[in-house]
Amino acid sequence: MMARPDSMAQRNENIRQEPSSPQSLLWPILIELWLSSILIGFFVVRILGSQTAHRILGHFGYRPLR
Amino acid sequence: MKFLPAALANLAALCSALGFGSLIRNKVPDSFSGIDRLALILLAGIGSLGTLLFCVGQVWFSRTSILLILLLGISFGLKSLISVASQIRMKPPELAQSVLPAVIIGAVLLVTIVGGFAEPTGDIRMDAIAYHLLGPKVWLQAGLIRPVTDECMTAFPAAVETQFAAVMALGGQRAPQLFSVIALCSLLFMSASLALRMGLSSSGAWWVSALVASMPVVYRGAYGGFIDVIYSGLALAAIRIAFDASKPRHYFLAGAFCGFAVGTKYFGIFVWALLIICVYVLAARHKKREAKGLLRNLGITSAAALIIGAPWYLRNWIELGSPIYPPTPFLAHFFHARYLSPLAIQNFNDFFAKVRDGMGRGPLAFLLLPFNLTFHPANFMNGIGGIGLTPLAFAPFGLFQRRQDEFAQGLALFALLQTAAWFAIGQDPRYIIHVFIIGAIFAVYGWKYVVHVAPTRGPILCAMIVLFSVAYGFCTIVLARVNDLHAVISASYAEKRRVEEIPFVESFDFLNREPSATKILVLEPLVPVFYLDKEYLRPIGRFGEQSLPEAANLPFLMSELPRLHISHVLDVKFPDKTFRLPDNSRGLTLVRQYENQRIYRVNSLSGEVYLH
Repeated sequence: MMARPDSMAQRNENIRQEPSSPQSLLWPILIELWLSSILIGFFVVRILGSQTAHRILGHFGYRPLR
Repeated sequence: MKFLPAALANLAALCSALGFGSLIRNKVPDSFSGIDRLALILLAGIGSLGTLLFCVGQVWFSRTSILLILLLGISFGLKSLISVASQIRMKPPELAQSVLPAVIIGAVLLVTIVGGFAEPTGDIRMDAIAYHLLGPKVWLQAGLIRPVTDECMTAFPAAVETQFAAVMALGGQRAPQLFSVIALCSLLFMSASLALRMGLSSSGAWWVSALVASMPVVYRGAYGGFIDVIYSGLALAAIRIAFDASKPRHYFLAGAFCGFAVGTKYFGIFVWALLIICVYVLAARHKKREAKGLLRNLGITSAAALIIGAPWYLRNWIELGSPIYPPTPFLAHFFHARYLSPLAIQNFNDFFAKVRDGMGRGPLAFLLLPFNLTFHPANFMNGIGGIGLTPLAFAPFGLFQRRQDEFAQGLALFALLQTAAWFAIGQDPRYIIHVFIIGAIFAVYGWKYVVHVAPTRGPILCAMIVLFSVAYGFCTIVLARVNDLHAVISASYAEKRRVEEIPFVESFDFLNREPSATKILVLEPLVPVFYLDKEYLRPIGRFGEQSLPEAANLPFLMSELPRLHISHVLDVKFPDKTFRLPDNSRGLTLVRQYENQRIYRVNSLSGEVYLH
């Protein structure tokens, strides 16, 4: 049977011990870049790419590629 | 008042499922918590109630038999269930952290409850109208669960549809829609159970459930006759037990959940096979279980899955000629499927092939899946709105952090294998909702990791991702249900919607009201016969199913009307097509004519009908 964290304290201990193994300063920046790219991707694809946005942009002469 | 029967019927089904489910409580591993037990009991109850209804329904499926089965379940152990529910505790400090996810879950459930009271509408392109609700309606009319030969999809495993029939019998046609609340709750409990097992706190489990509840793809699998949420819940229950199993009874229980999944959807067979592989690989990798004992225990799992899932496949084999019906092109070489010509089998497989390709089939398409599922879900069928941003944004970090954990390895391996199988077989996101749940669990773990490792801008970026993900998902869900919500609060809109969305509604209204209409011949395969409250005969189904040997021979069919006890004939015309019956057919009297619809009365049950 697999070991199971028995208590909240043990879970918190696990979290304190395990993370941030790549200790470099670069790692947090890479994480932030990754998260930012997801957010930007969401806005570009899901918001600007939506039909509503196309209708609004259409008033300004924008025509989406087909 | 018109909503009360649906609510009471679902309450009875819920209590009965919980009662039947409580029978497994002694087989659950001792280390499992209260929420684990609640989730497992509810899902086991849904699986066992559906299977029992199906087995009894082979010989007796009336309101009385359904009521007796439900009462049996209720009598079985609500008391023990109350004791399980009382074990669920949350520490006061965590309650405060759980308010926001609880509000999100509450809002989604509120939409589901209110929208669940809407009457089903729509044409035959909707799966609910085409077969999920048609089967239950025909079974109730026939007084037993029999194959609906003009709609081959009603032969799918139907552990959930039998419960649609049960609530429909007691609460009317609105009741199956409301069943989505039970379905969604069962999955949310299971998600929380897995999250806690992964080592997340109570608030983490709440957030997992909130992310899951606000995923439009997951939500789509819960309502409108879809059964995928329950199927995925059963798959996750099997995983939850199998990865922590140590005794034969645990392996039996894991197999039982696989069996219920197999009895809910054909794809349950893959869940069983992949789970066996994962348990074996994990045991081999960690050398924790002796090989001989493990193989014996996996044999117990397989036997339980086989026995519990067997009734559906045996019925199909005996009555329809093929255990998997309609058969795949490969199986069609070995089994002769009744009521299906080779062309009909081809039509069905062509129809299914539409979902097979999804976003491509090459290795690059597989690697791009996380991005496509996140940013382009509308390109998949039934995936509008997607899975939100959190799995792609955070789950890689959660995977990284929990890489040494055996349970996490098992979940990740299962998710990978299941996704690969889904990618190869049929890419409708509804089929892998359980993978998205696993993704949400890793996402919440990764979220905590990111906040810990990148404390400067990490928390605000995480908050924005969660906010946009949940808000976008919730808005998509509300937009998808807005017509249902409107129909519930406005009787005039409900009527307007019924007229607009139900094809040939005038004919259905007339035939359902007309006392002399006892059995109706429906000539056009694409008529949504779900809306007929009377017995009907549709000689040719939408894939070309032939419920009669000479179904395609219209003159012969018309000469057989008296022998078939047909009282009325419904003939309709689709755009750019003609009516099937010529004007002035002898032996038939035109009794009603609406736009593109003609209803004939068969003049004499003893006479003959001729076509000019």
